[in-house]
Amino acid sequence: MTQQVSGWGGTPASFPARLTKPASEPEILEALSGSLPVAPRGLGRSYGDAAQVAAGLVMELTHLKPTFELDEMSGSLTVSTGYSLGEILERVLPRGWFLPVTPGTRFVTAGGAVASDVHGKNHHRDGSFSMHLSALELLTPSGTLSLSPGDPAFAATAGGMGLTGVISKITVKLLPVETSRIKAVNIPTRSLADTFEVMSRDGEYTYAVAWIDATATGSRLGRGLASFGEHAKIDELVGGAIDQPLAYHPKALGTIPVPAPSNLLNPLSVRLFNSAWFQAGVAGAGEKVTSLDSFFYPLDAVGSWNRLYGRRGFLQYQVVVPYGSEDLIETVIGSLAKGGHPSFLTVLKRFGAQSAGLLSFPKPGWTLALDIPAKRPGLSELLRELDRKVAASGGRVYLAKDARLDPNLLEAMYPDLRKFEEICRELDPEGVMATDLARRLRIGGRH
Amino acid sequence: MIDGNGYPQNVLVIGGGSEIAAAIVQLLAAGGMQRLALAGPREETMATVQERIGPAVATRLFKLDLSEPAQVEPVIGEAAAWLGTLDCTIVASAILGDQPTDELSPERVAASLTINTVGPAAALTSVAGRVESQGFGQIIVLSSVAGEVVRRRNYLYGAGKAGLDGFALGLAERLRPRASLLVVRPGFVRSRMTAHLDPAPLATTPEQVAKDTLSALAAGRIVVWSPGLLRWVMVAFRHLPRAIARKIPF
Repeated sequence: MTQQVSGWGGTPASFPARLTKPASEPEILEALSGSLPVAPRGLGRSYGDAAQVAAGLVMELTHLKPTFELDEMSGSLTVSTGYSLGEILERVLPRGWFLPVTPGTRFVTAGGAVASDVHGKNHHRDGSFSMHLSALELLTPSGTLSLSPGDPAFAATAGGMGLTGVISKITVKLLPVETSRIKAVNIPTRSLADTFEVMSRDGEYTYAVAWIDATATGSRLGRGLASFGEHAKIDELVGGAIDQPLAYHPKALGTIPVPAPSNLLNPLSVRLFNSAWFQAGVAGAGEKVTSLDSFFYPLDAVGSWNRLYGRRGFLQYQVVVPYGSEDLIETVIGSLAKGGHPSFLTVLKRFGAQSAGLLSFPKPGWTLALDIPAKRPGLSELLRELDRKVAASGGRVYLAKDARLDPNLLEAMYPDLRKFEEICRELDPEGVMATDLARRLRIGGRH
Repeated sequence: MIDGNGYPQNVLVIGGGSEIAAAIVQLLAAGGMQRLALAGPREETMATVQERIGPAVATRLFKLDLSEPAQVEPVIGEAAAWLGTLDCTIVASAILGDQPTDELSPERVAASLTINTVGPAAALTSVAGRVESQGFGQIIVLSSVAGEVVRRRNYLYGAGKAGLDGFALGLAERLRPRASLLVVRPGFVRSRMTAHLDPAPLATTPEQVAKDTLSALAAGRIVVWSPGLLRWVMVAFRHLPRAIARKIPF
C-alpha cells in the first residue's frame, strides 16, 4: 500500500496507486505513456492538492538532476527541475549570482517554481519566476517539447500547475550580486491605511513585503511591519562578513517532530504570538544588514513547521485584488478575525505586471496571504463568501495555495481558463496529466 | 473530491428520504457540495429533500429498495457513475416498524432486519470497494443509541442497529486510513419517524445530529454520540445489573 499524500497544509490528503521518484527523462516519458493518471510533484510545498492524484501515479521529481550548467559570463543557468531553489543558491551564490525571483521558502523545486509561476518580494519590480526564463523543456504524453516564451504551450505551462506535462529543464537568467547579505529596512505601521501608505513606497526598493498582525482589530486592524530590502553592496558589509562577502550557510534551528495538538494554534495563542511579534518588530525597527535566510526564508529555519497546526492541517488563503479594491483587504482580515479564525502568519504586498502564464496568479494589485487552521466551524462558508467578493472585484485566489475554491468561480478569476484547457487537450489528448486540484476544480472537464 | 476543510463535492445518500441525512446534506451544500444522489424507496420523500437543498446542487433520485439487497450493487453503480467520485456516502436507511406486532411475525422480523442491517451492510460493501480503489472518501453510517444497549421495548429495531453498528465499526478499521468511516449514534431524534412516540430524555433534532456529525468528521473520529452526553449515560447504563436496567422506563 502506498502512503498518503497531501500538500504542505496537510489537507486534503489522498492515496495514490503508486509513488515514483524518476531520476531520468526516459523514465518519465515511459510513465506518461502508462495507464495511470500522472501528477508531477516537487518538494510538496504547494499548500493544497496541486501535487497529488488519488488512485493515480504521483511522480516525485526531486531526484531529476542530470543537468546543471551555469554560464558564468551571462548568468544564464540551465538546470534540471529536480534541483531545489536552495540547492541552486548554494551553487550559484558563491559565484556571485542570485535567483531573479524567490518565494518565501527555498524548499521548492525549480519545476514547482515554474508550475506555480512563483513570485517573490520583488514582484512589483521584476514580476514572477516565469518572466525570467528563456527556455523550458516539457515532457508530455505525446513527446518532448522545447519551448520558448511566446509559445502557447509555454504560456500554459508557466503557472499551469503541472497540468501540461512534466517540466524537466529550464533556462533561467540569474541576477548578479556582490554579496550574500541583504540591507533591510523595517518600518512598523499602526493601521491598515498606514500599511498601505508605507507599502506604496515600494518603488524605491527591490524587495518589499509587509507582515500583518491579523489579530489586531478596531483602529489597529492591519497594523504590521513593512520590510524593504536591497542586496548589500560589498562596501556595506561590516565585521567578518567582509572577508567572505558571498558566503552562504543556511542554518536550521530544529524540526517540529510530530503533529502538535490541533488546538495549539487557537485564537488566544495566535493573538499572543502576533502581538509579541509586532512589539519585537517595533523594538527592532530601522536599517540593518542581515542574512539572506532571515530576510527571504525565516520559516525555513524550523523544519516541518506545518506540524504546528496538528492533524487537521491548515489552509493558506492567498488572494490578489486590483488596486482600488483595498477595502476588500480590510474585509478579509476583519471578517476572519471576527469569525474566530486566527491567522498565525499574514503577509501583504503589491504586485506589478502579470506574466504571460494563462493560469499565473499575480496581477497588478494587493496580495494578501493568511495561514488559517483548517476545518474550523464556519470557515468554509466564510471563505466562500470572500471568494465571491474577490472574484467580483476582478481578483483571484492562488491555485498553488488553494484547497477549497468553488469550481464555479474559477473562470471568473482566471479568464484564460478555456484557452489553457484547449492547449492541454492538444498536448495531452488522453488526459494523462491529472491532479486532485484539477479534478476538484474541474479543470479540463476532469472530475 | 474532498476539499481542504473536509467538505465533499459529490455525495450519495442511501435512504435518501431520511431527515437526519437531509440535515447533514444541507450543511454540506453550504460547504460547496456540487452533486447529490439520493437513493431510496419513496420518490416523494426524496423529492422533498431535493427541494430543501435547492437548485444550486445538481440532484438525482435513484430508486432503491433495500428489502431486496440484490438491487444494491447496480443502483450504487449507476449513482457512482453519475457522481464521478464517491466523496461522501451517508447510509441512513432504516424502518422503525411497530415492535408489538412485528415481534410476533417471522416475516416481519426478517423484513426489518433486511432493511435495517442486511441491505445497509450490502450497500456499505459496495461503497467501500469503490472508495478503496479511488484512494479517498468519507462514509457516514447512521446507527442509534438503541443498538448500543438493546431494550425490550424496541429490540427488533435495536438489534438491527446493533448489527449495522458492529459491521460499520469493523469496516471502518478495514478502510482506515485510506477512507474515513464515521458511526453516528443519535439518541431519540424528533422526526417524522418518531412523531408518534413520546420523546425520551436527551431527545435531539436532525439539525443537531447533523452538526455533531460534521464536527466529528472534521476531527477524524470513528464514533460520535448525539448529544455527546449520551456516551457517558450509556457507559453507565451498560454496566447496570440487568434487574435494575429492566426497571428503567425508557
